[in-house]
Amino acid sequence: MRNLLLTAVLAVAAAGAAQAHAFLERAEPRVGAVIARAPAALRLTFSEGVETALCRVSVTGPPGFGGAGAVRPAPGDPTSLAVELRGPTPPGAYTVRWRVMAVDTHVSEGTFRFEVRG
Amino acid sequence: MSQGLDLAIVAVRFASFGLAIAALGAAAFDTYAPGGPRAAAAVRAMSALLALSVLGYLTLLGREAADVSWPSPNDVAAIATSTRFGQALVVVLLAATVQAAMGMSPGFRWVRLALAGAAIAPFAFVGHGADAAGLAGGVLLGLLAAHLLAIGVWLGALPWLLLAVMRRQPDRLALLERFGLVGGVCVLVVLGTGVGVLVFMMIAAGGNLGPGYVATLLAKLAFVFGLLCLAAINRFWLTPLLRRHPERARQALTRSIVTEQLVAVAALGFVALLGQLDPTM
Repeated sequence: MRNLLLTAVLAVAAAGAAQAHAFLERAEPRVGAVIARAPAALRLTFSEGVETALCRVSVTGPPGFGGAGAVRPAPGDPTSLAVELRGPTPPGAYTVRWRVMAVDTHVSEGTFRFEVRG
Repeated sequence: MSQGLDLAIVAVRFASFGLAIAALGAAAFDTYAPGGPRAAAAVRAMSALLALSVLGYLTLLGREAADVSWPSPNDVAAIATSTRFGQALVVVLLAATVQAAMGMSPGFRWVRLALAGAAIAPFAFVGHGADAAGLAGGVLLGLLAAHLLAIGVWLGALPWLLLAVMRRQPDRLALLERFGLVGGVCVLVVLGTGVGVLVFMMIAAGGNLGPGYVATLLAKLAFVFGLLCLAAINRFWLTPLLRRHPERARQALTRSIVTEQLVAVAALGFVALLGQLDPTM
């Protein structure tokens, strides 16, 4: 009975409280990866759902890089975004800057790099 | 602006939740305590303020999303139309606006209650519940909405109960007993839905809560525990005392309800703060 009461009180204290922030859980190419050839698109997966319309991803690369396309939702996965890399994608270091608004209203941002060896 | 604590958003969350709770409590009190103070004018005023507060909330979220110091109407419209939490806030805004524009006739009592409910329940979508999907997500949203409604009916009625006690209304004992019944049901709903939400949260958080977040959560816990103690004292000790020692009980009830309201405000502050903290901090 005492445990039940304690659980109930804890529950009231916690209810509606634990709102997570969207953290980058994984990326394709992986964070810090050195790859032989740039993919056609980047895919960023977050720890919770994101509002695609309010997310921004920019990619900078070596001279000659064609730039990044618009942010698109990844089909069937509300936690992922896809960003097309417009060719050409010459060898060199690429920096990805992301800023996302999670479905729980929180904004988070970050940067990661990958390298195309060629 | 991002990732750090935005005090403006904490403040607007505090105001929005507080006004929605106060409006619902007043509207509910007016239905089960018709002999008590008329709350219709207060419901209207609080709903007008709630509408302004929600507009401010949408504007601040638009600022966050656009990463600018002052968002354009398009930035705010993007929040309001393209996100689930934005659409939920629009529902709150509409319900509060209709409430503020509505007449104060006693015949509208139940309409006022329904509108006040519609102005608080959508907050379930603004926060962790927004990430929910499928059947489990529907259950979580239902639990959060019931949690908010019960909190509103219980804590939002306290100022009106206090007025009735302070004014020495002749029917105050019957009124206190009715409030005790309604408040008791609300406390049970708050506890029951809280347990349900905790189960979802434990699964979602995976035990990965940081010390700063836990400390803030424990501070809120202390205030919630205080609220439950005060509610129990009012219900099981001071209300029966009113029959035997009316004046002594009236003074004690006045002190107790004032304290309960202050504790509720403090707890609400922590709710507003917790919603903006990174749980892993």
